[in-house]
Amino acid sequence: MSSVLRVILVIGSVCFFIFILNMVRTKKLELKYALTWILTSFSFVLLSLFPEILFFIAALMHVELPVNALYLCVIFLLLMIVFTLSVAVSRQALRIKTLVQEIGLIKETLERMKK
Amino acid sequence: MALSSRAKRGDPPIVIASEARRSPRLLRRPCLLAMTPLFVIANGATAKCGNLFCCHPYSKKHFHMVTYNQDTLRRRNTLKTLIIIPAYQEAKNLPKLFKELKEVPLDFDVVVINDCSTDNTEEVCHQHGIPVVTLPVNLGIGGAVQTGYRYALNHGYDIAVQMDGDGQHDPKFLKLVLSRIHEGYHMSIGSRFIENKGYQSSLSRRAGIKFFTGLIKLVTGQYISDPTSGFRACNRELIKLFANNYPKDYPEPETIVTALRNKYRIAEVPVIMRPRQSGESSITKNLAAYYMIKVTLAVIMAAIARKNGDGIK
Repeated sequence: MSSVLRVILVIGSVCFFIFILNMVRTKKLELKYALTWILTSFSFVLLSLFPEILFFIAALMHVELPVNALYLCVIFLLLMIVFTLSVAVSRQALRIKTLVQEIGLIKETLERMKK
Repeated sequence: MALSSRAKRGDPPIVIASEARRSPRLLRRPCLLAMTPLFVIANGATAKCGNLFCCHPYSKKHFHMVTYNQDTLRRRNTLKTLIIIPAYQEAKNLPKLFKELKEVPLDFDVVVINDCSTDNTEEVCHQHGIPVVTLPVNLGIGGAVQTGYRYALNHGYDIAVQMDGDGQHDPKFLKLVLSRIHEGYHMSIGSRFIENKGYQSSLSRRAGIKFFTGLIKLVTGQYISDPTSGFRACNRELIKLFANNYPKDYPEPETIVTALRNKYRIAEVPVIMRPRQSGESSITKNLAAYYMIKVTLAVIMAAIARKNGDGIK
């Protein structure tokens, strides 16, 4: 791996890590979801600093090219994140629906009491 | 009342031969009532206890005869009934529906669920003195109807009837739809396809409906001629179930399967529907394929769902 690419990767992943930390700090990201991203961005930093980890993982998985092992892991991770989000969205939708219904009912009761 | 097939002396059963002659299809399927033992008496002739359908001994015509004991009758008169009208942009259609509802000689309350309409649906309801629940966000038909069931549950109603706000459902048939609930069924559906009278919808739609009839027959074993009908009544147990768990869009076929899966009993009565007066159906041509796939999936999911499942928590 050329040293230039390595520097770019390190800078990129560190920026990403700082960006995530900043989002958590300014409370734009709930800690529950932030944990996944902190771990992800931290592992990016680690990988760009020590690509040997990737070679080791590839050998463990019996994958010939380390880059394929990387793709496999990342795709798996992304799928997991997206699925978790789908579950979260479904739950939110149900909660919002219940809230909207309750608000409607409460408003009706309130109007009736005013009369 | 004693658990015998004969009336005790001094406690004469009350015989009510229902107004409508049953269609042959229903007659071929005698159903049993699971309520208190009933007396079925036709002009003095006693038929088998619990058997709803029997022959008139003289005219040989088929009649639908149910007898109620005093308790049942008293209960029937005190059952609080609510009509739920989900409405989205129905300001034009509602006044006519309200007028027709006022002409029905039955005791019931009405609530309109205004699903965040942008027209003056809410004002129209206020003008007619009809309680209206206005949702702050558009939830779709399922969410609106569920609000109605919650309203029914909160206010202690025993029976809830769903009717579309677009004038498709004629309040004249309320009595018939309700009669099956009074007889002890958990749900009663007004079906266009028993007597095949009135508005029958387009050919492609009918094909779709037939498909769902077949699918429901396959997964539950019960024949439901009009699974997409939104003209339906249900009793307290189902009100509770639906208040907690109701599909978001295109709910009709799915709820039938959920109800049957939880061993609730469903009956159908023949009604005549009218074409919608104005506005558009929620299922447009572009959405037809999506509707078919979504509802098919939902029906299958409902068939294998956990009993009394509450959905996502």
